[in-house]
Amino acid sequence: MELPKKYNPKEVESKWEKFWIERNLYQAGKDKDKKTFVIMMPPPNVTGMLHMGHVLNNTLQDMYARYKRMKGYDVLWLPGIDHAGIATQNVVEKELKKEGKSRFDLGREKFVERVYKWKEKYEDIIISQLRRLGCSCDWTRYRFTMDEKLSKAVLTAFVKLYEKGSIYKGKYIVNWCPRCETTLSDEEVEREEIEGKLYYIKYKIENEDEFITVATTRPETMLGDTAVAYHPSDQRYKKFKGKYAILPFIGRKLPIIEDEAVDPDFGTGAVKITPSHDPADFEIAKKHSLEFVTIMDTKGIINENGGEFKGLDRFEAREIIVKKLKEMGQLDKIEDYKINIGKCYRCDTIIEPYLSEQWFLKMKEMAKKAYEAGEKGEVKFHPS
Amino acid sequence: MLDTWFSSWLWPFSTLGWPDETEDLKRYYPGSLLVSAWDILFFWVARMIMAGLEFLNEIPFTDVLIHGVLRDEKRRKLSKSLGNSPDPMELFDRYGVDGTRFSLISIAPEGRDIIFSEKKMEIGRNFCNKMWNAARLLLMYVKEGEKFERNIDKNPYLEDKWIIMKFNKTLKKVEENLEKFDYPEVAKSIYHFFWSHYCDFYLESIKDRLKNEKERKNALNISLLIMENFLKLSHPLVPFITEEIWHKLPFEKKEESISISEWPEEFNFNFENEEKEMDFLIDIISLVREIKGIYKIPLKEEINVYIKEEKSERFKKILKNLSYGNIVLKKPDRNFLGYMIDGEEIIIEFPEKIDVEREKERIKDEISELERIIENIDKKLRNPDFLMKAPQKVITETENKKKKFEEKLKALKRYV
Repeated sequence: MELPKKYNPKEVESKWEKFWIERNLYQAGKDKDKKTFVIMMPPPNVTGMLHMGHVLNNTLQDMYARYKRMKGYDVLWLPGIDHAGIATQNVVEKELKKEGKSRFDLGREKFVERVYKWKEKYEDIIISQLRRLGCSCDWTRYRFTMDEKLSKAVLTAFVKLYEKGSIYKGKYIVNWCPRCETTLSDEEVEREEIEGKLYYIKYKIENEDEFITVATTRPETMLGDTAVAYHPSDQRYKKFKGKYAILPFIGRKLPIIEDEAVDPDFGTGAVKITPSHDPADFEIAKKHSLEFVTIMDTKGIINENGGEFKGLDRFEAREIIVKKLKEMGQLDKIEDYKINIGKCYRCDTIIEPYLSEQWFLKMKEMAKKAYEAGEKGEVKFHPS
Repeated sequence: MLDTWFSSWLWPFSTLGWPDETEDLKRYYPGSLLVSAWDILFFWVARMIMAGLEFLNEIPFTDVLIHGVLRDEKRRKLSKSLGNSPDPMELFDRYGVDGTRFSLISIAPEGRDIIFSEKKMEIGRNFCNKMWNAARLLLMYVKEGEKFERNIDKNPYLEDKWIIMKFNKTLKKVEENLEKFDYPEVAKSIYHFFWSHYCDFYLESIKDRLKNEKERKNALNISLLIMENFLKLSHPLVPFITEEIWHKLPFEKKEESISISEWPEEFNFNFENEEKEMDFLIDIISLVREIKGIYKIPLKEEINVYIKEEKSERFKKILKNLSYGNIVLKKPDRNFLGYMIDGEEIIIEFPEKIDVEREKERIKDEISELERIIENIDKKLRNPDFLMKAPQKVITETENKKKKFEEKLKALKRYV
């Protein structure tokens, strides 16, 4: 008996890959007397092909599936893929862009069709790659997170939570991606520190020749200011208490208020309050019953509340506003300043804190229960 | 529009038919294991636990295996945009699927990030080639149509008993490490057993029996049986090559695939004494080989070895076959050197033409030369100017050079 002199992986691998699938060796439930061992494959996103991380992840799963199967368990390793929501929409949009088209050129129906075409293409690739890796999963139970039945589960979960009162609607500051035109969860925002500027802007006090100078990293949002605030202990501004500052360009009267949340060491110690475009200002505004003025549309373009700047992109607006303030003598100075920005994890666009009406899910109780289960060792992490 | 996670957090049970009360949901929920990189632990894993508790009152899995993220040698995450992420399919072409799998498991430190380099993929490829060559060697001695039974001969040889013990220990280690999710250790145990025990010494020591028609069948029987058990042990890591070789083994098989065959059990023997004896023998073989290297004696030249205690015929034969060492009963009175292995005195008698004393002097010279070189390297490594100006690569290379010389020095010192 003889083996070929040289090991030829390709030949051997494709032979057994086919054999394992054809014989349907890894379908679960063939022997109901056996104890079960279940692994749910983290479904790869249908955004593209598999990368090395998937190879490692699935190799480890396959190692356990094969080990437990040989050990006499009824192993269910359930494979599937994830729709990945906007991430997939993005890759399809990028593809369209190469053809010089946008999703609006296609219209909703055609665009959805296009997304499904993408899904089918990459689904095939992903499955064939998982098979090549030797994954001994139960292909008869393959799932896609938008299968009819899985969508039914989503709906059921939503209704159950809604009826319980865990889901509510409300206007809050959310992370908004002006490119994707959608909200992002906190985890979907990538934070980074960049070199920015701190602008010192002078607001005139109503009926006086005095000014109050506020410092801000985002001058364009001043169009949405509805107050100026300082820390109650800050003696510098006591004299302005109860007075009004006049918002340049717009002419709105801004009450000058005191609030503990203001950091007297930041800038001049006086800050502009923009409730619709800053989460901290949002809180302050609620406390003092301030007005909410949204100055951008969902694409980050200045809207009618921005007066003469209407129609400008948010960053264009910044440049022009700064230039005009300088001309008007209301720009005190500009300093270099490190700022923290958030970027959309899918498309890298700088996110906008944005007041938006959304549905929310109360997670506190759920998180607490999950945490306790972890503490009690009902689920073990390796390494812990 | 819903948050993406609103569908994926239901994954452990929506896949089984929930909200309908299906057979699958009853049988397979809650599940057992989730394997995930740490970077989506809170994105996804925590949410699945919450959903499981919320809708089914049970946590969806009992164990979560957390693995690291792959990074390049500059510790950057592998990504398409950086161009540092190889296409896995190309790696499969170059290193084989099994080779890639085995390498990844070996280099992934439990839970921590993995420093990936393509060079490391050779570990698995070499391992697979070694497996292939070993199987090929054995199968060359199997005659057309010949079948073997899965039982251990009534009179196994010293080396058979030894490999049985080593297999038992490896099996236990692999199981323990799988159960505690220490997968790099799993790969290490398998690799070590096969490379250092099975190939380097076991197959070498049965070669005389394979070539002798009277002993051939008995040698094949045990070596193939151990091979089969080893294939099963490795199958979860390298499924393709083990399946291929398993089908070629001349045993009756009741299953159509190794993947649904039974996991091996320990051989019910205790050959502890023989295991020790063979370990001792291997130490002597290594000693004789090393001495020949250092004293520049041709590998195939016979050399006399004196051991106080009487040894079995098999012991003597293996020593002779593997190192050209002759056991002698009389303690040599000149031209010899003595060593201690495991508390036993081993005396090596040198051939006439080698003057041990002069050789010792030569080695001493070599030692002082090495010490001088190491000192010079040390000076360089302490020089702040060098450390400041030299590229990191050069510094690392210098450090490695030093390490290599130090190892050689240590080896030489043992032999004077």
